[in-house]
Amino acid sequence: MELDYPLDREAKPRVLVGFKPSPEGANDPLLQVVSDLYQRWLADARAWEQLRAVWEQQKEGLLPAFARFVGKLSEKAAKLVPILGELGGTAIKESLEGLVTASEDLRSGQLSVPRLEYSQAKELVGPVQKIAGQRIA
Amino acid sequence: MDQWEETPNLDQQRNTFRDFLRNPEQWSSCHILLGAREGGKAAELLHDLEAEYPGGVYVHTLGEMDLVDGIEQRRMISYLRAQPQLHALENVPDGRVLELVGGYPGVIYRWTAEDARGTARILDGLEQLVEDANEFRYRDLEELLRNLGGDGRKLAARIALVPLVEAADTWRALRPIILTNLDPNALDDLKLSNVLDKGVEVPSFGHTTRRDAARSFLGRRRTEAIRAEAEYLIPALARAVIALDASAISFGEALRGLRDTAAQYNLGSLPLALCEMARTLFGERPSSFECVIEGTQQAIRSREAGLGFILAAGLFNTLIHAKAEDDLAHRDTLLDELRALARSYPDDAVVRDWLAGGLYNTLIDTKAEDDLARRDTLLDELRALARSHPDDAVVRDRMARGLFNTLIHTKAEDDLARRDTLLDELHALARSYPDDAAVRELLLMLHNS
Repeated sequence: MELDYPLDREAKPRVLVGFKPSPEGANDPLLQVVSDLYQRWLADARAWEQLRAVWEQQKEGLLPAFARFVGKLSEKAAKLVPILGELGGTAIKESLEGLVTASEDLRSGQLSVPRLEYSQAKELVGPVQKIAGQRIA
Repeated sequence: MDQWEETPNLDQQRNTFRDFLRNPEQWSSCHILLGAREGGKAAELLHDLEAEYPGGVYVHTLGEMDLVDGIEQRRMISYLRAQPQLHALENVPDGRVLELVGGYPGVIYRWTAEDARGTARILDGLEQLVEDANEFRYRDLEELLRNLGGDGRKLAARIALVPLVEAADTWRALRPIILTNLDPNALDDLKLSNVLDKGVEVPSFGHTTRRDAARSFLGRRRTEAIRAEAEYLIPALARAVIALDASAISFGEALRGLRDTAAQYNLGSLPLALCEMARTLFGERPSSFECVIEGTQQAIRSREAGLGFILAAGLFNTLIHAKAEDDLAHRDTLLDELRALARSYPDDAVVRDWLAGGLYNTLIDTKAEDDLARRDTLLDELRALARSHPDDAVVRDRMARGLFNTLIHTKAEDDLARRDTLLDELHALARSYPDDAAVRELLLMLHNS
């Protein structure tokens, strides 16, 4: 999308962007967008430090989905130093997927591929906005 | 989110956006931008959302490039004249160049595409590309595809059939299946010959209109290749769906995407059923219950190996859809097919477990349907299944739940003798499997009730 670049790089104040084209047939575009948002945000070392500080200081008070995600990511980060770049992207993606898989237990009856729920998206995106202090698109 | 029109199950997506729109105060600094092609269901849904949430949703229609400003005109002309591929524009006046582009970026994309290098050498070629761009035709690509043979043609057909490979993560998962039994150089060859985009690691035809053109050409002119590759891909992808976790999602998505091809090329009841069953993994209803039933019968007759998970999961999910629609005749037929499948795959614990799930669900339903004799028969069937497979914890769990629910029912039915017998049976089960926490938990619930 043409708007991707100017929002991410040129807008003042800067806007945090989560973007994904939807290749035909992809199941969960919302998860892909949230994953891309985190990858772009945490590509900045300062953002990663901010996130780690929030995790260490407010672990008990974090929203459940956000806490589970950051917990998983922190475990991976301990093994992947530094967290930036391709390895970081994989760790973020796997942590989010783990979160979505966990929601499967809440479903009744039907056996279906889990998706990122609205409530989880809210719990994941809200803290980014708060910590980064930036608009999100 | 771009190309939103290509997302499956748009209604489900629309409902997700409704959740966002119902709570705008929670998203005050967050904007959701969707790109969708005009003229389809996606655009229609977006216009509906705009009407439903005035002030919350705005639909902006993208018009032609805004070239009213002379500076923008000169910028574009300079860019085009600087392209080595577009020497043919050298003596063409600026006004004619603007006329040819006609405010449509697709023209510039086509003029500068790698596969149009030959055509773009002369002005007639550029004019033809303008016409093609406006008609979404890719004559150079068609020529390249027409001349493909052997493994190159097979691979092009597979990529056209599974466009999901354009996503890096999905490509990593699907790569072994897409490249099986092909010349290891086939992918590089398609990129070097400009059939595929050489600028990206994943196999991609490029712009969605180019991909659609490739698929359309192969579908019209290489029917047998498309048919043969679909016949290979469907069972291969179905065999790869062996669990319902992140690793299986790509296979399931790709399989679901082949449903229309299976129907269009009349590939048979089993391939069609496998694609329909993949749809159920994403919460969708299969197009018809008969199709699922016929496909299962075909799999059983032909003793197809490795399809246990997708068939059992598909039948189980379809059974739930049939019950939800109060179509009890189909529900019962689907349960019979699940039983037959379990007999055909006697060593496949997953099939057995989903049969136990189907029996248990139906047992619950029969109480609501006031068919108590059938409820008891189903409980006996669960008992027999658990006896035959004493180490299968899932079957034991379903049987224990069956006992538990029937016990609750008998209490309501004032059949206290039977209630006590069922309670004894649950206690005996707990003694036989002292480490089974699920059984213990059921007993605890009974004692606390």
